[in-house]
Amino acid sequence: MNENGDELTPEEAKALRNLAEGEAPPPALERATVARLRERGLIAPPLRVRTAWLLAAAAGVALFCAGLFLGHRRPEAPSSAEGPRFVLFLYDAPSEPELSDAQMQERVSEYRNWAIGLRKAGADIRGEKLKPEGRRLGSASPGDGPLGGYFIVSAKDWGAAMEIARSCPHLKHGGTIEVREIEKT
Amino acid sequence: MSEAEDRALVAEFLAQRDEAAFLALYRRHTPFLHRFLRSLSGQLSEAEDLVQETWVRGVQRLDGFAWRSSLKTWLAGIALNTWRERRRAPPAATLDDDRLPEAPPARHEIASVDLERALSRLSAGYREAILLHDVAGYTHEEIAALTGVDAGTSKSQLSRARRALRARLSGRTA
Repeated sequence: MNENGDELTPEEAKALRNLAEGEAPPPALERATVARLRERGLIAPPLRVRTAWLLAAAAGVALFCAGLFLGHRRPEAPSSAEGPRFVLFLYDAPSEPELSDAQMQERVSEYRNWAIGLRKAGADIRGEKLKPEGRRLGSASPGDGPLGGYFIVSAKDWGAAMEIARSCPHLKHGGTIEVREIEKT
Repeated sequence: MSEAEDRALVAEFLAQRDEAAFLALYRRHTPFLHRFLRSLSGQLSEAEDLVQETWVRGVQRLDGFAWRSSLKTWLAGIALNTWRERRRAPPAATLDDDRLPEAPPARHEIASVDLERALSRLSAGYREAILLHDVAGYTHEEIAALTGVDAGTSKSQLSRARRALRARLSGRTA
């Protein structure tokens, strides 16, 4: 005990320091905090959730192209496969809302049907799933939202490629599509 | 916990409001906020709600944070104000506590549960003073910035608060 009685004894100081090193917060608190922030629109949903429908759609297209989708046999390679090919980079809408399971399934069907329709019309289209992590070089930003996936599609020229891109449901959901022609090597 | 790391995480979060960046910030600062608010409120469930509300307010204001203090201190200030608002009454030291005996506790280990109980029985103003200075480790100047009182008032408040706490602990052993 000190002279004026206002300073802490070693035991008191130790006990108070121990309070600062108490139990860790429960994991449920982290989930609840994130949920509250999401409800108020203060943080974006995780990339894997926002793009899950797109990745699922791309995977569906890939299966379709491999002739595995719904038991369909892969049709003969269309003649246009030898022509120009384009990549459609699909950037998500910056504020894509989180979808319910039913909405996600509906979205998957929409993209899949779009790709199937193109395939039936003779286009060689395939999609690939992208991992959420990415790196960007340079300062140019083709889209405000994240890159969610891509389709590679055959088309006879730029006009046809842009027509295909304009028909993609991604645009009506607020996404951005960047079309690039694949350079033949 | 360096300020440079906090600055980098805040910049990363503000760029896209990315959940992963938020979680990194959350995991760095919530252990302290959780203990701080639990000790302030004395109730675990209320403390958890206060932690959530602190982060909501913090994220809402983060783009205006000017780094005149550390992020931890800034968050502690938000937590403190959130708790004060929840109580719906301004903190005020009760003079009754000043009249309690100053006898020091016996020299022995003080159990955390006893300390928390004693803290919970202090007036809100005294509890704040001890938690901010003796538990969270803020200086009187930092406390002055957090609470809006001057450093001299913070010192005298702490002095009275310690006496009151000691009296509560003595009462436990009496």
